[in-house]
Amino acid sequence: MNRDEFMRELEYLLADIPDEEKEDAIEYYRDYLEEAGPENVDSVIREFGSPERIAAMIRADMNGHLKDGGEFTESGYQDERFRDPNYQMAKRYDLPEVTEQPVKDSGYEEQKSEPAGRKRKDDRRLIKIILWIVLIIAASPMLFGIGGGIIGILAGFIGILFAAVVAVGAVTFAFLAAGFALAVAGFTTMIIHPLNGILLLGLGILILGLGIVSLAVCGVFYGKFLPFLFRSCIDLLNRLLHGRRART
Amino acid sequence: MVFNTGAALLDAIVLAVVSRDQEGTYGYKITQDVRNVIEISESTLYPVLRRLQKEECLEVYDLAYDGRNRRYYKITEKGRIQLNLYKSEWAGYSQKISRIFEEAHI
Repeated sequence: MNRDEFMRELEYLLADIPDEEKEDAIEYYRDYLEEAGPENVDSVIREFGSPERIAAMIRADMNGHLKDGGEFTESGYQDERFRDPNYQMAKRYDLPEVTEQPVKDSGYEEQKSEPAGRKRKDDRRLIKIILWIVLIIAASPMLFGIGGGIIGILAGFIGILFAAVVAVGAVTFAFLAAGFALAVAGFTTMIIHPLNGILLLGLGILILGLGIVSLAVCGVFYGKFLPFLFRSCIDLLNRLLHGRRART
Repeated sequence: MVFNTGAALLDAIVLAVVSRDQEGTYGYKITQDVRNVIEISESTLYPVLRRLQKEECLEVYDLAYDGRNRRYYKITEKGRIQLNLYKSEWAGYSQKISRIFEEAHI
């Protein structure tokens, strides 16, 4: 890794820290490599380890972790977070995933062979993702048709449900209001036409009774059915999203 | 070296190194000067310098050098007071350690 590569990588890794901190750090390390001169720059970069390590140190210090983190020993700065100054640092905090640098130096060979197993796994996952993307793209015309149909049906169901929710409430309210109004009207007409009045009052009480029945239905509908529906929807989504886990 | 250098001692060494130059000195030179005394890696000092600067023990200024900017570090009054404290602490500490070694039977 040469100086420009190192600086570019470091700048990229520090993209999300405050500008002032970033510029200060970038300037320091650029200066430093400049001062080291062409004859030392390679060995200095090697001693820096990786841009990831430097970025991690800058971040750790920003968060105030460095102060009580490590010690300066005969073999340099010892901090479990930045172990092995010349190699990779230990994983800590929200550090970016350490990518293996293609190092031409022979001294690095034995270091590189170790994480090969993990890398192969990553590769396999990558292939899987690519295959999925290809499949989705190839099947997209059909998927759009089916997907559109499914979305239509779903929207229809949601519409019906919404109408039912409104209707149950409205019917109950109408029964109660009409019953009450008829009863009141019955009372008032009773003074002039007693028989008519009693009829109206009877009708009013009947409808009020219906209203109370539908109020009970309301209670069941809003109190039990809707929460149940809601819960089962979430369950279904959960199961769809984390397939195997929910089934076991 | 067999003995470890704690963070406070490194602060003290850096302050001492910077204080030697009236006009201030720059990152690479500070690192090399400290490396002449204790073994630290090339990347060690940035966080230390940054912290000392934030604690106002050091101040920085940029100076054109060789067609580019060079950042100079200079010790502040607060830095001198801190360094003085470190110095007297170290004098007492090292003296006691030395005495116990002199009294040791080998």
